[in-house]
Amino acid sequence: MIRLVHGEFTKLRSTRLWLWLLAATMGLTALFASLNIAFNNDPDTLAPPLATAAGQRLLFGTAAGGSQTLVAVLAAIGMAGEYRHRTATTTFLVTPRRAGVVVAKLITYALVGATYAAASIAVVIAIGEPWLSARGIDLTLNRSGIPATMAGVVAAVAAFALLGVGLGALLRDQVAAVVGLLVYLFVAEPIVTRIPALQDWTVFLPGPSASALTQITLTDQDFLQPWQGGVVLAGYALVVASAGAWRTNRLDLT
Amino acid sequence: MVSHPGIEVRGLSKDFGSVRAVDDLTFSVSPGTVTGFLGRNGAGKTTTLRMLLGLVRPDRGTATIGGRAYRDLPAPPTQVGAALDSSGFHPARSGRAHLRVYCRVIGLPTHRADEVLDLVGLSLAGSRRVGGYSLGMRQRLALAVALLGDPQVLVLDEPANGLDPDGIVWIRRLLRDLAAKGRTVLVSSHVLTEMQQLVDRVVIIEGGRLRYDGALSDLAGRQGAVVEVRTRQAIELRAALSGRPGVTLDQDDTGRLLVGGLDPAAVGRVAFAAGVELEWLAQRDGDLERLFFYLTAGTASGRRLSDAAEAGTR
Repeated sequence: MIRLVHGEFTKLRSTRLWLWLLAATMGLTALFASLNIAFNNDPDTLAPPLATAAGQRLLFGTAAGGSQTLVAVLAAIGMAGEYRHRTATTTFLVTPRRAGVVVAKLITYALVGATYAAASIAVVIAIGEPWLSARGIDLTLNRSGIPATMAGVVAAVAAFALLGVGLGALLRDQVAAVVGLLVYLFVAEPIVTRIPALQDWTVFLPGPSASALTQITLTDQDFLQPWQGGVVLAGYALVVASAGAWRTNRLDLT
Repeated sequence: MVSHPGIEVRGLSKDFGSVRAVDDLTFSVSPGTVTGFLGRNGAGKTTTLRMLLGLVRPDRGTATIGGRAYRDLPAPPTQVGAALDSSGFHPARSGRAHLRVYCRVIGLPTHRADEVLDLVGLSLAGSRRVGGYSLGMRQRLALAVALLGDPQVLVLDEPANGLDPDGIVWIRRLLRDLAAKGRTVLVSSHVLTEMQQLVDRVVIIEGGRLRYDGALSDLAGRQGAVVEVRTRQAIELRAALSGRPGVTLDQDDTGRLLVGGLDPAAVGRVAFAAGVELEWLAQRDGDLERLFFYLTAGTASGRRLSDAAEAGTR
């Protein structure tokens, strides 16, 4: 398995996509963190003041949004790309026990996701630290709940990486997997989560579960407890990834 | 593991929807031989090879290498090398990076990538992106992947397809060298002449069914040599030759009489006895290409469609 994971990292490093998406992730995080700080003084905001621990947790939570989406896109391309470029034939010749390839990709992209999340957290610190100290506020990393939020960001991004691999294995069409992912996250989920009658159910969707895990519970919606969000998200990852592995194993590669 | 594993295909069948791609196919490839796997495009060659290599699940039958299914081999890529697809590369990845990925997975040192690049004549192009490779270069890279694990058995699907004449000569020489080192090679093609100087045995399929399995020389012998005769008294000669046991008579498009089952001296004696004056008498060797055409054209597309319909109603 170590050799398979090593091979996946070699694949990833041999093209530049991971670098572009990492740059985009850091850019998005910089944008989200800047907006969070800039509008925190706004009298209409729901956000707790940045001087409080709750306000700073929310600031660190901005590291999750961009990385979750783009890591899921990278992971889906990493899996479905094997079919798009027809490298699947060679990959499954070298590793005829195909589930091993899927598991190696799950491990690889979870690690990549954790790296993206760490880079995003670094961006938040790099922007937040000088900006807040100019306002006379200390950004304290060991304050109550902040390590938990950071761990939540890393876990949520890693879980989205697993979802991306699973989705790529299920759909096998790179474009369909990426478009499906983006439409779900940016159109379908935001719409259904705003329907009050459905809120008892929509808290269990992947996006709200991830928000619960990272404790970005800003709006008037209800959320699960962080640990519940983590369990639900892990459940989605497990189900989608297993279905993807099962489908990969049964496939006729003509 | 047996040092010289052979290939066994037993009763292999596969349907795609209502089309029977491979139909109860049985043949074997002896260790240390080069076997040509011949048939027209769509005859079921690729499906058979992919079933042999565990990429396609057979509906019925088995295909084994050294007595085991491919996926049950202890370290498949070091025992069997396969080149099935000259388009299976990420265009943004260099040829060397593509090979290094599989070095990592197989557990080979990465310099093995440079060795096989050298072996297939791609040393200079190794660091270029595959997107810029010609078809011939991609065929060579596919072969490099197959050779990576230094396997005893090679399975190659149309490796000469799209190669220029230089490339065909090159691949023929390479495969002959590998065979001389005792490797077992199964190589498919839809062009018999590509194979003629290369293979020991041929397996010919059409419509997913076995049409011929045996030595190439026996195939030539089956058609047999014919004697070419040109004469102005063709009618008299035909009359003198017809009715003799084992003698066949035919005419080619230039009007020459083609006599099978007799040597030129015997044809000359019959002509002399019948008072027929000959203008030309010559031995013509067995025409493999024509025989191949006959073997594979016997089931033209019309019959394949009816096969498919039959399979659908079953």
